[in-house]
Amino acid sequence: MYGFVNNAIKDYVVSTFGQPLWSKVKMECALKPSFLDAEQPYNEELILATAKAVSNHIQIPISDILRGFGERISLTLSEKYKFLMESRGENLKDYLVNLPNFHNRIMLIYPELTPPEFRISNVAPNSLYLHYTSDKSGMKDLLIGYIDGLVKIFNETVFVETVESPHESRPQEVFKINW
Amino acid sequence: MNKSHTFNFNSENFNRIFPFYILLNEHLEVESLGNSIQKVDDTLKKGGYFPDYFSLVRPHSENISQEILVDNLSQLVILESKKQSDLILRGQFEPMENNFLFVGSPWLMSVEEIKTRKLSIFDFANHDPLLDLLQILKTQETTTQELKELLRVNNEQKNALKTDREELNKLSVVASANENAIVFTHPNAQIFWCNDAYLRLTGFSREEIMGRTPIEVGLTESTDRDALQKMIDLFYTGESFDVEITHGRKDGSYFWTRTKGQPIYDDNGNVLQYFAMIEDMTEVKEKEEQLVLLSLIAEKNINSVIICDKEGQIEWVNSSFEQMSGYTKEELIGQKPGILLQGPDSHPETVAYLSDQIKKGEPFNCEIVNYSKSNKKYWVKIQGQALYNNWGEIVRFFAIEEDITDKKLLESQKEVLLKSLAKSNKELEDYAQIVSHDLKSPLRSINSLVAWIKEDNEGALTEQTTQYLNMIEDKLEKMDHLIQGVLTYSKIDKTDIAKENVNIHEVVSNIISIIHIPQHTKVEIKNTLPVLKADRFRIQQLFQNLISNAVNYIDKEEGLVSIDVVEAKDCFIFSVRDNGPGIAEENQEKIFKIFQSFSKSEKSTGLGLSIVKKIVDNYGGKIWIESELGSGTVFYIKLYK
Repeated sequence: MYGFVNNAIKDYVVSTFGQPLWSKVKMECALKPSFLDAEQPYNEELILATAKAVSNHIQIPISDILRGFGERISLTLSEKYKFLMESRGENLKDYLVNLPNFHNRIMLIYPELTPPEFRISNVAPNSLYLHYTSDKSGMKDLLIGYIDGLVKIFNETVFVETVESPHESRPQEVFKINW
Repeated sequence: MNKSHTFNFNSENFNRIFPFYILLNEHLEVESLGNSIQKVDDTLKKGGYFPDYFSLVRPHSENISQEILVDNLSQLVILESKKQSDLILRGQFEPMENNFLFVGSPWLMSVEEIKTRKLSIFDFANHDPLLDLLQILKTQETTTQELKELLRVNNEQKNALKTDREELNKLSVVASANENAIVFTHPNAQIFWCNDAYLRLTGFSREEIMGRTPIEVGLTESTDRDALQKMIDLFYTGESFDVEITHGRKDGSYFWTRTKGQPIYDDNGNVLQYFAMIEDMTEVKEKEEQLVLLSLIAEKNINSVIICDKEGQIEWVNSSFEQMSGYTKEELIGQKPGILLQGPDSHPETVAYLSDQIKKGEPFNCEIVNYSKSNKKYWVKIQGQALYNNWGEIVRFFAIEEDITDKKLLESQKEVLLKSLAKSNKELEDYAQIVSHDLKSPLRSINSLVAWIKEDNEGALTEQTTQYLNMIEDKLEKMDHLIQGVLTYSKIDKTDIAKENVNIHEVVSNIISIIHIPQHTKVEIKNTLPVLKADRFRIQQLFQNLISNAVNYIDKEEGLVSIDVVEAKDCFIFSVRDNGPGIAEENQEKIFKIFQSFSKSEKSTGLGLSIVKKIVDNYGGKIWIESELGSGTVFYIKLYK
């Protein structure tokens, strides 16, 4: 089902910037037709390359594009996989607490996929830390977009701060999410 | 209010519920462990330091510490064994006072793995759905495998279909664009498809053809019934056929075809449809007929026709050749004509010429002596050439030979005759000279005698006698002219055509100054006359005769003779015009004949114009006149440059 990430990215580009741009991006990034397959592994590099190509064409900062991608990913999830969203918790906090569990289960079920790696720590009544393991700094924007999307879906007000960005000893993005 | 329960288990029943449990103390040392976990990792012992045995894969952590475990209490954890390859445990940590209890089970990927991990169904708690999940997974895998296989087959068929369709498209284009007519019929011979070429050749529209059989469309009165029957028989037995047959057109005419049919079978060997290709043979047939005609012409030619292969060996001869050479076709084929037919009297130079031209592949044309089978000598005129194919290579030689033995005989006879004629001419000329000389001598004597008679009897002669004597003298003079004329005439010969540049203007001017021109006559040269290569004496004779004639016979009070010339591309046309009495039409033909004089003049010998004509003839020129009685005459002389 990870193909949905790629599908969401495609939907975002097509609905926001039009099919011709998507065709160009597809060609420039040499995306194979299997890019949209359900069993397509999640690939950070490809997502960043796609965002860069879109950004080059329409002169919008890559960070904005990545945020757009992230938001669309959570919105797509809520539309197409509503049952999953609902099984993960009734509010944003529960959802985030379950986020690592969900992805870890996926890893066991689909060993050939590399699901994103999340971890939750410092869970307090009004805040928690969300860790995302990645050595690519660009993914931070995707995550912010993703969280923004979730905030909209759960209709909550949160304040997100970046606690840590990837560095050599710890390739992690760490956000503190405050209610 | 919820009642809080406390659960107490002894290790035995706890083992039954969680056979893979591991209990750690606060130092993360193994306090106790389930029966089954020992089976999958027999190195794991009580008192062992847990981080030495396992690493935390998810949530990922570099090391395992009390804090990390506390942090992940509410999480699903995935442990990876450091001792056993690929052993993954899935479960969760729970705090128990100061201890940490791990409950979970190994994460197996397949039913087979149960065995390789030396486990059995009894090693799993009954509530643990793992084994059932693996069963489901196995079923799913099988289904997926089957689906994948089905998909593969499906894709293969799809590709095969695509290839077939492409092939069909290609064939369809080939069929549609083919110059030959192509027709598809059902097994009952009804046409269901034809290309444009068929419509073009037959003149029918597609609507007029569909549903009819090719025979209904193409049958004409001229159709060869045997060929038709052969085609029908092969068609209905489901065999292919190849016949030459005429095919009708809509307008009632027909054309020759080569019709090839081929049944198309289905997988069960039944005829599915018939495919026929109809090739327009009109041109081929015409060529065939032309070929028949040409071979007939070659065969029936009165001249001999011979065809040799590129090696020069006889391949074919016509019957005239057989008759001429005396050999039969069988005796000639494979022979080299030169070796067989030439002999001692065949001129070596001609033999060499023939051989050389044939070697070069160039046309040849010569006359040569050949010998027949019975060794009879005959002359042939050979005209031949090499025949080349489309690539410019010599494939054959062919020659037409004419028997010219009779012609050769005639030629030699003619030569003898000409020689004897020349001799006669010479003799005649000699004779004329002798006669002239001999005749002149008595004339001169008579003349002297008459002069003496007159001298001796001066004053004694009667007027009558003196008149007679004068008449004798006149006749003598005329006789002298006549003899001179005969002599001149006989001397004009082709051999006299000495070629020198003759200024005709000068010659004619000279004539005008020396001949006697009566007072009342004027002679003029209108345009400058040219210089011609000729014999000066003959040219003078020519013009002097013409001009003298013109001057002498003028009967008008004011006589006028004019000489002119017009230049054409390759000749000059001279004219001598007078305003004399003219020549009657009936005499115009005769004036050039010898001894024909239509003048009453005493001086006319009847030889002048004959001499003129002979000179003009000798130069290959032409002379003619235009004349009107009472007005005058124009003589035209055409002389080539």
